[in-house]
Formats: sequence, structure tokens, C-alpha cells
Amino acid sequence: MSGQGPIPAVAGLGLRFAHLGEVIATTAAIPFVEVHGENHLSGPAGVALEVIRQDRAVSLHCVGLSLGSAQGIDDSHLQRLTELARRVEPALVSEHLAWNAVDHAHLADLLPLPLNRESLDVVCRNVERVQEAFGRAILVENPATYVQLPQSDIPEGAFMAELCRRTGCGMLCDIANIVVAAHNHGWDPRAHLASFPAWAIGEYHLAGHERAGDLLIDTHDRDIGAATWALFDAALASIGPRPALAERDRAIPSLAEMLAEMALVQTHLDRAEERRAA
Amino acid sequence: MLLEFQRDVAAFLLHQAPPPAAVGRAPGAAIRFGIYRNNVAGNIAGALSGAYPSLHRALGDAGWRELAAGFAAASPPAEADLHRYGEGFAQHVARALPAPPWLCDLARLDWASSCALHAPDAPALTCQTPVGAMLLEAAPRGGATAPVVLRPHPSLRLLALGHRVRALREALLGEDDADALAASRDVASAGERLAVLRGSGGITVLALAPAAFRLATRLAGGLAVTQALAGEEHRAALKLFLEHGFFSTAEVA
Repeated sequence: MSGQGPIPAVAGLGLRFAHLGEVIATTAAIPFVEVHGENHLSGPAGVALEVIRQDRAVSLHCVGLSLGSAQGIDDSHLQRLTELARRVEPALVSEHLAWNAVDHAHLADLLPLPLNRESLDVVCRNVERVQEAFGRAILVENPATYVQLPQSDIPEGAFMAELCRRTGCGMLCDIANIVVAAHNHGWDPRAHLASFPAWAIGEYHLAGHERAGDLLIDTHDRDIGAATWALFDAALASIGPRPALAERDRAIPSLAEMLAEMALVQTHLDRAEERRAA
Repeated sequence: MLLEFQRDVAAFLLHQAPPPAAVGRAPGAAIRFGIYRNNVAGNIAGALSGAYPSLHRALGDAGWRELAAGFAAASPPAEADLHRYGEGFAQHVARALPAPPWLCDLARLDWASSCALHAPDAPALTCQTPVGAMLLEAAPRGGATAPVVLRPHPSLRLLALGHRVRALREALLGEDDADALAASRDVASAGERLAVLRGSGGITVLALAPAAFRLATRLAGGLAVTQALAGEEHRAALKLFLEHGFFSTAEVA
């Protein structure tokens, strides 16, 4: 296994294109930055990430590997991401329990996967392929979902646990996605959190969501809601602190606001550490 | 089973097919699955807006998403790196929106700029490099003594356009409506020949005289410098190319 070592249980910054120049220039304490790998494969954003990496740890969060694709991993895309990883030596690499590619069409979203034996075999095969290419274990994130597919017969927590056990991957626990999925499907969010393999969780994500009628939509465009903060605190108490960050993908606020949000995440981590030490 | 499901979902997302049969039976599933269709449409429209910013500005938001959805149905993204998505959108726009005729050229210039921005990096052959200085010195004598071939910088794009859209694009990206309106009055007066490339300061769009454009095209196409260069006019053009980093290496053919 290669690459930089794991990140301690601190808050990081979800780095977006609009802030690249400011982050290069700032002396603010930013323990690590997390980027979407697909946004830094070429052009100025690729160069900027290499500059940022000289001073800060980087987490590569991928959105296009399509771990759930029945037709396997796009080797060309995987190769470009591993070349990026070779240049920036990320401390963490992650992807989603989702799919977005079929018949050479990339569908530009994180699409739901039926959770059954066939999908488990497919995802395990694909995760092993990705881990082999990166030369390291990755983290797989639980997605926000809006439908429960009738072909599913394995609960998400059990699916994730078996995936981690069979492939040696870890889990990126997205607290906001649990809140959204639990609301949309009538689950108890704390019970759903407890169903995940705590031993495998290597990072937390938080984000804001939108209410649309009876549904919650994972929008990443606003402040983190109270239910997500509460579930984060519950996760910190039951699972323990891990690296964590707040995601913003739309309506990107100023860097100062994002750093303030990062500091708030850190406050929750610090309180959890204090409670554990007491 | 999984592959069949994924193909059904793709048809639903891209071609307005009904939801996959299994999904459709779940209560409210068609509406819920529509969230994914909305997300895909929005992400593709956003990716095309990133590649075609001045075209989007010229057309406005109304209809942009439909235009993008029509293109995606025929030419969905082939890879996860959406920065490389959008080739052929200019032709799609020309078919979907026949007037005004300069829209297609504006789209071509947007696409050339996007490709230049995301092209691989490479060193530039400049007047200050020994090989560049040697080429420039030899130019008045009809080129270098050896049959030297220049390799174009990966970001270089050469465009012969039927409409004068460079100034219009700058005005549109400046988001000054008055400037854009003034530039649009001049857009149909003549065509223009442009070189688009990425330098240390970002994307450069240069207007080239016809002879310089022909020379750049021949050199970028692999014609040896000895065959392409003729006279003082070409030396000035070669100097311009070297000053802006049109080429990355010189190799003896």
C-alpha cells in the first residue's frame, strides 16, 4: 500500500474550484482538503491541487468510478484517477455505493443500486479492481436514496458490512445521507446508523438538504440541518471521532464561511473527544 | 438482471422512457425516480454550460436545459470526466436553432477554449529556447537547414470561422449587455481565423491574418519548417507563434 498515512480525527475543508486560489494563498489552518477527483484530472484545477498538496493533506473523493456497474470499471477513467493519486498522494480515497455508467454512457448522478447478492458480487469485484489500481484500501460512502428498489433483499448496513469484510475497504459514513434516506423510507436514523459496520468507518460527511413535499433531497447547497448535527453527535458518541467535513456542491459560500463551517465540525469533534476522555 | 435494470434506468434518464418496470410498481416510485432524472438533466446542463459559457449567456437559461437534454439523448457523456463532455454540441445547436447563424461559431469558439483549458500540459517552444531562436534565425533563409517538424502544443486549436465572434464572446463573458449588443452588430460582417491556446496566464484567443493562419495550419499538420516557410511575412508569423507557445517541440523529420 502506498500514499500518505491516514488523517487524524479532525475537520477538513470540502475544497471547490472557486476557492482554489484563496486556499493556495491562505495561511489559515486547514488540516486537510477533500476534492472530487474528477474535477482535478486536467487543466488549472489539476495544477492547483498539486500546489495545495505541498502544504496540506488531500482526500480524493471520487464520483465517477461507478462501483455498482454490472459491466465493471472504466479502466481509462480509473487510470486517470490513479495518475492523479500518484501526483498528490492522497491520505484518503473514497467513492459511493452507487452506479452511473452503462453501455459507455455516463449518467452524471449517483444512481441507486438494488441491494442483493448479485449487486454485492458486482460491487466487491469493482472495489477490488479499484483498490488494486490505487494500491490501497478505499472508503465507500452510503448514498442518499429516494427509492427502495423491489429487487433489494439485503439491508444497506448488512450490505456495507459484507462489502467491507470481503474487500477490506472501509466506509465513509455520510450522516446527512442517513438523515435523507431514513426520512424518505421511514427508517429510524439512529437504528440505521447503528446497522453500519462501525469498525470500518474511516470518515464522516455532513451536508445540508432540501425538503420537497414529503421528501428530503440531498442538495449540498445550504447549512447543515439540526437533525444531521444531532445524528453526527450520536455517531461520535457510539462510533467515535473520525476525519469529517461539511460538503458544499452548489450555492458555494465564501471561503471564510466554509472555514467557519469547518470549525463548527471541529467543535463537535472536540466535544466528543472531551466526553470520551471524561 | 442488474445490467438489464441499469439499461432500463439509462433509457428512463436519457430518452424519457417509462421508469424501469420493477421501480414503477413501488408506491410513488415514478415520482421519486424522477429526482434522478432531474439531477442528471441538471448536471449535464451544468457541464455543457461550463464548456459553452458564452453560448449559454447568449441563449439565456430559458431552453438551455432542453437543448442540453436533446444533445444528451443523442450523445450522452461517454466518461465520468464531464470537463471533456460536449464535443458536437455546436452542430446540435446549429440544427436545433438555425438562427442567428453565428451561434454555431460562438459554440465552436467556446469548445476550442474548453479543450485548450483541459488539454495536457507540455513545455512551450519559445523565442527564448535555443531551438526556437535557431528556427527564427533560419527563417529568412527559407527555414532551418534540416527538415524540422514542429509538434503543436496540446492546447492549440486553430479555427476558421464564418462570423466575427471573438469580440462578442469576450463581451458575453464580461456580462456587460451593452458591450455584447455592440459586438453582436459586428458579428456577421466577416469571418475570422483564430488560434486558441493555454498559456501561463490562462486561455489566449489570437486573431490571425490569412497567411499566418495557413502557415500555422501547415506547421501544426506536420509540414516541415523548410517546406512551410517562405519570406519575411512568414518569419513574423513564426515569431508570433513562438511568442505565444503554439508549439512544444521541434523534431528532425
